[in-house]
Amino acid sequence: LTGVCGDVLSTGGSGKGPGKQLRYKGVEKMAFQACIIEGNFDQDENAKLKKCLKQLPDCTFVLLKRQDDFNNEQIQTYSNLTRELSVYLSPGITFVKKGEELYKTGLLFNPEGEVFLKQQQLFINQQDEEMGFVAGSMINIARTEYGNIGFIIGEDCWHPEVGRFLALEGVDLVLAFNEIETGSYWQQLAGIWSQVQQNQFFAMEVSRGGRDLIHGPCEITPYRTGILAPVGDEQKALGSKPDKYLEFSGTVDGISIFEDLKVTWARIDLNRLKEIRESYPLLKHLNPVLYQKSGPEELFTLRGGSRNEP
Amino acid sequence: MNLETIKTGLFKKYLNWKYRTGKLRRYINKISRDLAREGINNREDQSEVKVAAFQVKMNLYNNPLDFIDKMNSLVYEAVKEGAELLVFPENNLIQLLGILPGIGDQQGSDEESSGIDEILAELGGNITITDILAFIGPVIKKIAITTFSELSRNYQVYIMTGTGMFPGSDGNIYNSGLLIGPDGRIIGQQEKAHLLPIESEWGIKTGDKLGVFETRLGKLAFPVCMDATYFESFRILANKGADIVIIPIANPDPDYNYWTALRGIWGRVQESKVYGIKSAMVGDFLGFTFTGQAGIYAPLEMTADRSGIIVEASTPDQEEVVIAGLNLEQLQKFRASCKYPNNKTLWENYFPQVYYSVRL
Repeated sequence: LTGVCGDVLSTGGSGKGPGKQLRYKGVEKMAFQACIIEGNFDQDENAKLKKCLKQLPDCTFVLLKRQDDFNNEQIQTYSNLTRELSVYLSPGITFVKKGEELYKTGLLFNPEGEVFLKQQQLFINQQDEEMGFVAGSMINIARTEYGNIGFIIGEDCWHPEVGRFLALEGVDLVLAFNEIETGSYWQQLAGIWSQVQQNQFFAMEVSRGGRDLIHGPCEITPYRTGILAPVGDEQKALGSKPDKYLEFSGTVDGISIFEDLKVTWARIDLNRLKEIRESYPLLKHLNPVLYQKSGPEELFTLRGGSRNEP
Repeated sequence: MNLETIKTGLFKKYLNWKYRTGKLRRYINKISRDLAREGINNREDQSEVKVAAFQVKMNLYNNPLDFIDKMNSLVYEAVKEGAELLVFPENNLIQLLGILPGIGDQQGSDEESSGIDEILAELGGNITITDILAFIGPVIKKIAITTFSELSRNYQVYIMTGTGMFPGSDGNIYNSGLLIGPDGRIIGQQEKAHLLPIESEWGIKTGDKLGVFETRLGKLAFPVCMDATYFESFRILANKGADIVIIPIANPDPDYNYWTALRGIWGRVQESKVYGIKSAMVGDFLGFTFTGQAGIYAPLEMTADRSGIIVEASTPDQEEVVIAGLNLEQLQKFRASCKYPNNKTLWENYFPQVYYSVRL
């Protein structure tokens, strides 16, 4: 896992590298299916997933909701599976040791079975620190025929600069993995949902303790909830507070059950994303002069009981 | 100097005379002094700052005295509930655009009234919105300062005036608001730093500073509307020490949606761990329909139901006032208990160049 395969850009603040030419270059498929699969993966994982994904023939991006970290044998299994089914698949976060340093790392396999994108967690909370993890310092983006892909993992989900940097580097779809206190839906909305809304990309979020959600800008989602899937009851979406909607007691679309696997799925349409970015160009109205005048310390250093700096 | 310039100058002089400060001040004092004596409460709970956010139904005033009456009645309503910090919405001062003949007789978004584009067409020539604002803005600002200085002093409160569109010292038009203290003096002015696309099309310019103002009630900041869509605004203000961030809004969305509203101040309060106050403009005005819910927000952990919502208006389209007590000591304790991870190497790799790479 030390090498990165595929067409991956480790961006260094843009303007310097190939990131400038990224947007839509080489994007051939503007719409595709994406799904998050949750279930008991303890036994016979490969067979279960194969069976499930064969029933979702159009599914291109697959995220698994499973425990963090996986061994080499499992990595080989995912590699074989993605090659066989011709999908992009992320089993989530694994722990990667580089020298003496241990990183929480998101992995994405491509349809050729390669580890196509790796992203180290960028913000390390106290719990991560106690477990010996250190923070990464670069953002990686994978260029695919389905748009530009990036990761937001763990604590990073609540650090809006991560989504901002990804968006400014041209990301279209974010793969997110996190954990929250069970049922803390407001906390969940303060994370990836908020990053999607202020940056205008799609996101597939696997949340232990929360809901598995596929997000998009409010304007292009049912009832303008910012959630593409699952789709709940309209009354709850428009008549209750968001935490009540996220209970999804009246789900009408976007969830399927295959034996003991629960699949949250949605169709992701990059044309619609392009439309909303053009009609409501949020990033265009950023104010870099203000940010530079304020200084990076004011913009990026969270004060309080400030802690680690890698 | 040509005849048109002379006519324009004379007309401006006439407006300034018609709405002269002394006359307005006398009127304000006449209507508010008794009410103020009746309304001012002693602070019941010294540990809390009572704040009020208005949800104002937008109106086009062709007589500033009517505007003053309205502002006075709202202030009185909040003060009698014990509020010490009162917040008006974005475009609150635009309501005075009606003092300009030709605009004052327009109202609403129904078929009979005119939108801003029609008014400009009627005025003829190459007149733009910024031309109108450059002309009438200083008169409106003077009326606004007089109104809110007197009200602040009489009621002994801090008032964030809401915003108007005024020419700056460089001649450009900015969407800006004022914070006025209980002594009637201006504590600070804030220009909107992130615009709506339509404002940008009109030629409004962005400010490039965000201020935090130290007051007896705590450190206050008041960026404007769209500034709350961008985490950067609140992050800068929180790091400058703001305890309470005020957001005046005027959202031109006739089809109110709670989720889209949630994209603003609520999220920013969660990211920055400050108190947030949102005041909203509602109703029809020159072809626009504004909706929104005034509200008062706190970090999730500081609200009993962990929603981050202390109080919100009950409707998105009616006039309301929401009031809540904010405990700044509790906020400081909470912030001190947060162990924020930082990553200097990360931002050094990306800032500022990434912000100049927008590809649209």
